[in-house]
Amino acid sequence: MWDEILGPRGASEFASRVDLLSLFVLGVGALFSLGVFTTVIVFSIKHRPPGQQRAAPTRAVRGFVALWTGVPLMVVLAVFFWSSKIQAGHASAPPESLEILGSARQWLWTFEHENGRKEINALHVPVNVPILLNLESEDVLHRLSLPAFRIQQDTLPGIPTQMWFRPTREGMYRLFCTEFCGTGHSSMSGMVYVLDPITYGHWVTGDSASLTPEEAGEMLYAAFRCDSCHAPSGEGTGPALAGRFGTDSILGDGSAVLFDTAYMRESLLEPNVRLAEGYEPIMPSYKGQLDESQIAQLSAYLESLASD
Amino acid sequence: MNTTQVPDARSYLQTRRGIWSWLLTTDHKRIAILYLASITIFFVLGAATTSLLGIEALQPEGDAMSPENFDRMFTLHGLCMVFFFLLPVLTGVLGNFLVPLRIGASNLAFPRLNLATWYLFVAGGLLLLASTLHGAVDAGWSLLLPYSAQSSGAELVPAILGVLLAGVSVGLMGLNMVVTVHRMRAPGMTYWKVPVFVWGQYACGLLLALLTPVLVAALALLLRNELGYAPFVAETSGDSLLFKKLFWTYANPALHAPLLAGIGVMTKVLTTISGRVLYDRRRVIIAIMAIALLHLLAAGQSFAPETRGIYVGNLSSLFALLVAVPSAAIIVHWAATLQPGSQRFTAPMLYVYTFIGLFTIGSATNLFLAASPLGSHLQGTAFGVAHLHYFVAGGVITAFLGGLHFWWPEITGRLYPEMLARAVAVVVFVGFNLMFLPQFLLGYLGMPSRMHAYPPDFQVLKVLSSAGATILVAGLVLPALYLPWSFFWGHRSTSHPWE
Repeated sequence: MWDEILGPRGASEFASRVDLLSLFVLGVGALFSLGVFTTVIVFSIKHRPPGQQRAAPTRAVRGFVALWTGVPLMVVLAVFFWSSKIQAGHASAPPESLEILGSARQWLWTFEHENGRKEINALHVPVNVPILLNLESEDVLHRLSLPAFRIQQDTLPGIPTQMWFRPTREGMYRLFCTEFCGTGHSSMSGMVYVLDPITYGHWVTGDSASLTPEEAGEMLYAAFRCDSCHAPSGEGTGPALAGRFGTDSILGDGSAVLFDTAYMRESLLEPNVRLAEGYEPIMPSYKGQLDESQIAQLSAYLESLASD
Repeated sequence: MNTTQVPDARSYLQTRRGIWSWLLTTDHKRIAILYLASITIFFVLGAATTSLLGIEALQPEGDAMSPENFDRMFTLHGLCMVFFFLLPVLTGVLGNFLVPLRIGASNLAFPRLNLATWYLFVAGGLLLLASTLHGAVDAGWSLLLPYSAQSSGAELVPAILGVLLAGVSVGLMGLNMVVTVHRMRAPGMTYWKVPVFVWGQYACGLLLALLTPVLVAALALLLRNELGYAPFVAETSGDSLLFKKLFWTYANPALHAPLLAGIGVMTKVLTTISGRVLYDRRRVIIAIMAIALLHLLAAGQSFAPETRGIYVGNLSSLFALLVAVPSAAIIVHWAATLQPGSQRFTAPMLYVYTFIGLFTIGSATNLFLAASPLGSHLQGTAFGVAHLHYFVAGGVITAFLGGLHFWWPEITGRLYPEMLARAVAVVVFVGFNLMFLPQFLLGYLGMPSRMHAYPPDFQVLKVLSSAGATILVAGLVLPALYLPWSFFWGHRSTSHPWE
């Protein structure tokens, strides 16, 4: 309940510093507003006999005016120096930062880890390690926002930008695009997964030896956010995939093709060659992001959905 | 006190008749009426889009309209409300009608330019409406490149031209005000004797006149971009941020300019209805001009902190923070003027209280956006939307309605229905607060603006905000009905029933 009202607790030390400044600004803002409102109301409703001319302003009034003009000056200077201090402490990423490439296009965030592992609209990072994101856009202006870490950064075509953060709490946090970038702007959202370093290590190396192919496929399906387009309900921008494995798919030219591992492999690597009827050629290729064993795992997962 | 008392407030309406006596008039009072009528049309259009956007926000999935139509809707809303309501309304209607009367001049300095300004406004409006016939622009009211060039077709050129004409119109109107105040004052009226109402119009006009060339430069380059030469697109070695920076250099101070006119209007209403002399008017005048100067210097505030460099960043942050000081000074000077007591809570006075509420809280939320680490976290979120609407739109709408009710007898010679007007003032106050306080929270939680669909856990706050929108629109529709009614059938009144 209180978490909802006070907002998500920050998930980094920087976020806590920003929150403290926010609380201060909120506090003085509220105090000043309440003071002004009370004074205005009291001054307005206090009875004055009709016709009586106003005397010269009392000492109290003069003191009130001087106080409430002088105090805001002190407050804004304090806010300025406090802000500069927070900014200066966050100016450059520590040299030991883990670098991740972030690339924006309409309407996907793609993150590429140091070993070449890629993910879409999701970002897996280890806890307590500074993360440096190198950002660039392939088309229009975007802006990566990680509200739990209280940071945003422009993601621009032709101008590389950077942002960094050091997550201090494991968990799932939202990521958004906060620069309007077109029809799919609101779907350019995803999750940041802050994992303990060992789990992150397993994740990033794709080490899934302990899992069955179906389970590994299910994890991949979630990690690559396949469901953001291929929703089970069929309401996404792509066709629903549950129950389709082993059946015939109708293509745009009216012909049919058996939905099997081979067709799935082709759809992942060359998605727009043989397109299902009624859908736009908008799916990105996963060539280089999925190896053959992962394709087999995804195939096993979809096959398991078909038999349900 | 009133050197400009006219025997019959309606005389300017009756001297000449026929359509050409209106369309070719150079009488500042008649041009003010032309502005009032045409701005009302755009305001109603903008308010209608507000309702549709409010309905859309009820469901996280955003099923009420397609994403394409949602994008067009908020773009039309922004363009209508900013360029055809917020920027021109206080100068075009109240300033036009009243500034010459308050400084003892017979007209504005350039009466024919004044009429031409109105024609530019109308032509701009027609072009904007024409652009919707071709499918309407969907890039947001800031027409941000490169998206606007990528997504739009034939509709972008008329929309750019429409905004260009409206922007130039506003700038010329500001210039007219500035020259009028400098050159047309009655003999003996020194600058310190110029009413605070006129100082507000002067500060607003000065900002808009100075800023308009920046808007023209940005839009001219955008237009060239449309015609094949692409200075903003990265592939042709242009700077993809250039348009955004130019546009916001204009928009950030320009959006705050009408608030200064609003401060002037509210000062006049407050002192007249309370029957007091403004407490230390010199300092209030200095505060108004200080706010204008600081907004100009803080133009870089709306650039992303990370892309504006540390010096520009720190300086614009400092100037934007400092705006709070003269703003607070004005509020406490008003409070000291009200002391001690026994106020008449007439409708214009209720708008003064609303203005004090919105302006005080808005000045406080401005601190969040001005302090760099907070501004960086909140930019592009619902917090920015809430601030713009609560502070700028709220302040201008409140000042306009308060001023219009206050001067209605002087403008039309009739009385508006007082009790109904008081009820509307309260409804508008409740509507603004219910609509935008949840959005401040949403913004801090990270909710971006312009989201067709949103995460379901934001729904409670979104629904509260939509409920506020309903109340607000209901409150704003009523004056659009009863004011025209009272223009024809209201009780006759003297020009100055408040004194």
